[in-house]
Amino acid sequence: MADETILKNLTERIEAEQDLHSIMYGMLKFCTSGRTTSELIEQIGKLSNGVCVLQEPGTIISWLKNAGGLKSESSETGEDIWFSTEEGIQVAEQQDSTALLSALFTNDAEFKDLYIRILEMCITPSAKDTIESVIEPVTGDEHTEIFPAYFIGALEDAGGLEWNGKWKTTDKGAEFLKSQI
Amino acid sequence: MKQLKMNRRDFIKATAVTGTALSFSGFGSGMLVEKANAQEQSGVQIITTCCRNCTAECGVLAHVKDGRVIKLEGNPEFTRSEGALCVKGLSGIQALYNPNRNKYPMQRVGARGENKWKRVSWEEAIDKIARKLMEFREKYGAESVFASTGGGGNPNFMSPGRFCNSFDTPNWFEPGAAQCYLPRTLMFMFCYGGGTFYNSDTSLGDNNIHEAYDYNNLKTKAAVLWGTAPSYSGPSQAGRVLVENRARGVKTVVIDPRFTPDASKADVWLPIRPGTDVALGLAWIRYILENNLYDYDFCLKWTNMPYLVNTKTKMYLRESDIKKGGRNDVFVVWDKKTKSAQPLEYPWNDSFDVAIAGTYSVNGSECKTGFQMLKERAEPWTIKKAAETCWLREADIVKAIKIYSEKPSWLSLGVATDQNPNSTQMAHCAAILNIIMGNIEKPGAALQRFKNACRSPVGTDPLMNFLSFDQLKKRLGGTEFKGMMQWWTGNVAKHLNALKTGKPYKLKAWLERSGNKMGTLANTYEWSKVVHNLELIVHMYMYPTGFSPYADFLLPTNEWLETDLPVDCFNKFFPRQATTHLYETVNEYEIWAWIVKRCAELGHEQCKRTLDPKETAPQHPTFVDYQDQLDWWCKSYDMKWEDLKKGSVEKFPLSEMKEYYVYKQIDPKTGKPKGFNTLSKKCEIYLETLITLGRTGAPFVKTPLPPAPHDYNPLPFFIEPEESPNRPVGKEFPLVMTNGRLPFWHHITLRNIPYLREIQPVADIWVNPVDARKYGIEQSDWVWVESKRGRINARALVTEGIATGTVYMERFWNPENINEKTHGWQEMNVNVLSRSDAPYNEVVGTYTLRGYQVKIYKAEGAPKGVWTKPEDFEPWMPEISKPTKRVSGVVK
Repeated sequence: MADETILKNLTERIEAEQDLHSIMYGMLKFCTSGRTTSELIEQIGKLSNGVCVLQEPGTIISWLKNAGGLKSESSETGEDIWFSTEEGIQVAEQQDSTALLSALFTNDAEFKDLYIRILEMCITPSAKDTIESVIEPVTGDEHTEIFPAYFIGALEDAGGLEWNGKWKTTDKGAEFLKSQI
Repeated sequence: MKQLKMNRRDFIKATAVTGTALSFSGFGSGMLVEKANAQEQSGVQIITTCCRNCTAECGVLAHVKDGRVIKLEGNPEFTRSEGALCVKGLSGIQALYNPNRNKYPMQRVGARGENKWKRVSWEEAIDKIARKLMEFREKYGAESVFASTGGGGNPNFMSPGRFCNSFDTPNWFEPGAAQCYLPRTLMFMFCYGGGTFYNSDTSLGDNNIHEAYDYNNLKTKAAVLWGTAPSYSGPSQAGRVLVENRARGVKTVVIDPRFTPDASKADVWLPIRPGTDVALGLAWIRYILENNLYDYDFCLKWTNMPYLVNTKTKMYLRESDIKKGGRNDVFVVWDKKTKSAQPLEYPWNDSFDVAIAGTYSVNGSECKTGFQMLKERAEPWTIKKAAETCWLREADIVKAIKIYSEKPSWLSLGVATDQNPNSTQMAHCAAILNIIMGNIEKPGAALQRFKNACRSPVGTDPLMNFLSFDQLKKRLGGTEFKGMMQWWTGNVAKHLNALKTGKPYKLKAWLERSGNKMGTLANTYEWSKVVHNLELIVHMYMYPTGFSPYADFLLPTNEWLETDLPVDCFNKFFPRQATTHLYETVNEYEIWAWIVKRCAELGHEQCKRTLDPKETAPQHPTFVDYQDQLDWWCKSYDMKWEDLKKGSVEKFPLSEMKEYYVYKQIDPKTGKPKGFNTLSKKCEIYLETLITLGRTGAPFVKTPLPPAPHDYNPLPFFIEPEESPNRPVGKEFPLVMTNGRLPFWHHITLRNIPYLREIQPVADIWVNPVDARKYGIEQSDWVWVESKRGRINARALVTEGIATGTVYMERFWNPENINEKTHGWQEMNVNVLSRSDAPYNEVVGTYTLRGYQVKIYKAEGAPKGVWTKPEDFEPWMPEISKPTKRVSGVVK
């Protein structure tokens, strides 16, 4: 049974690293079966999707370990083998759900159509400028504009978009899109 | 190693005597204080430099032996300070050799806020930062990157703005700006039009009012210090010359909630309720107009007060409005002789009998003169009403006005009134009050266009033209608060809002070069939450501060004793020379240049253009070698930096600096008087320019920007503070909080200097004895100070030097607690209490740092871990280290 306090702390720890969400959740998913340190480091490289990762892989691994998401065991060769803890597995699984996207569409209901347009558009990976060329800024409160970058960022945070040189609708995002159309 | 430690007795002696040799010429000969030179030793090199522990930049002679700075004294040749040097400057050695200095670039390895670091190379730090910035630009837009600066900590003030314009992000801010100086520079620009950024307003604390420095030839009869405390903020310059002025018979009025040293010597002290200055300003205007104390001739002929305003359109009538084919740059007056509206060609027409006041009908439209509109705006503000609103005595107000009316006089407005939403209105009042008395460009007046007015070439060219128009439209707060364009900067509260809500777009990176944003930004707890929404935070500073634990990179910057920079002072050009160099610290100018260069290498076309002098001309290109930047600054004097190092340069004899009545000088191109650098070429009271600013952004942009939500008001108006003792909030929080300078600090700097902390170890809260008794507080009690936003501790200073109903605290943070969870900014930091919410000033977006409600009650004791006793500060005593070579070659 997952420890609720560790679950909460682990989620908060990952969420506190704004640029590493997908990497850290991805690491927890990757380590549902045991991985050597070198395998894990290689996976971190893949998960980075080409972006600059400020932290060394060892640092990120230590963060997840200290937060209770990863644990290590020594192999016969003395090498560390990394496993996701029960809390780590649960936290990783939560990321697969479309709950965050549902919440976004509920809380930002007035922009629902905009979100759908962006998700549709990014089925084919699209540059930010391309998105901006078809999505106009929206007038918000106090006569100020809300720019397309806000909607892109919101979809990214909710797991609907990911960056891989361009903005691409995630599998989760595509699945959620189907439910909205 | 302590052999270079100055003992306490010598330090106190040095601070007690701001002596000087007789200056060589002109200003200031025959000071009140006798000279007291520091002892010299053999084998010691004396290096001419300038302090930068505040904006005064006093000249300093640094004594250096074996590469180590061992003594500091004022440089008598530096005209503004004449050899004086205050405690801030004298603390330079303890700042330079503080054991806690940032020594090498560091990268975060713990959670944000955990304060765990590893050392990295400069190359790695710059490369990573640049790569992340480029990534954010591609993913979210350049606007997702923002920078911030501040006046403290040896700044190269415009570097962040220049970086932002190079990178094409519109977003950078300063905790000051709309809360410090910008309201005044903007409104005096519109009203007086001095034509330069510096020396075009009446801020004595910002090295203006040059007449005050020529105290042996004083013509000034009276001086008003409104919301400024030069004895605290600038003891070596502004405070010192004020002493000299008073000693030579200048009467003074001080308007300040605190009984400062300046107030103690004033003829009248008005302990005004914080936040109500505009009410008093309008009352002054009303009294002066009603009692005909103003300079009628000057107001008639050299201001726009007689010009007719269409009260429906709010714009001045032009000749083109009343005559077909009429000119758009000719304004209209009411001629009493012909009882008709007549175009008045600049500068004047003696054939008219111009009405300065009145309401008239012109082609069916109601029109009033600017004078009439000002009169009507001020009408409700009787002395009685102002006294009630501002918590003053009527007789004192009248006495103060009468003193001010002894011309020539000047009215200096300080930062206090910049720090609440009435900011630009009070600056407008101050400009009006100087103008209507005719205290313009005459002997003894503050507003002058002397020969030295231009401070360039020493400034970092901001490259404003590099910021694209599309990006400018995205500036946070840019649409609402167009006045900020004078400094080409964004609005603080809008940055906070974007960080909180993600609207209008998400912010991803914060590059910060200043002391401790957790000590200077309003409503600090809100900032401490939102920093976790960022992906990259870079802090460039000399020491870790309460902001540093939230950063990803700490980049070590030079102290002023390690910095080369030319410094302008009246008629001379001085070298601030580096006296040594320590660790891997770097001039912050170079950090910005390196980031730009690296971004250029990574494909940022605009950053690349900034490296090309042909692209940036006539502004300077990005120099990755600071030596080239120094030479650029020196070339307008036909020299290189190495030449300036040999000694100061005199631009022209001091006797040639003064030029009075510049507005009357004939412009050879037009054959007419030069006038002022305003729309009408006259001093402006009613500001149509404010309306135009709000609607379009002119004069700061040529292409119109989207309009502000409503027209800016062309005349001053008073709004009662949102948190007011007169409102329900005043029941639970009955005391009005203000803050202001003490002589030991500049902004939030220097709380880590052992001797300065000995003098003022903790934050005091000034409480009137009546209030102290009411709340059961005695002298030196520890108290809680609470607002709607949080609570902090302070030590009670029970004094009649603050009015009943008002309390005062200076900003503070506790470096000794930086490794605690509080990071030293939660214990006694008054900005935990201040407001970042609306209402904001309509023109520049000022929020509320002074004039909000608090309550106080006894605490059990001092906050945990804070140092209070002299021996506590021993760990901060100077740690002398060997000089190192300057860092170079980080980017090539």
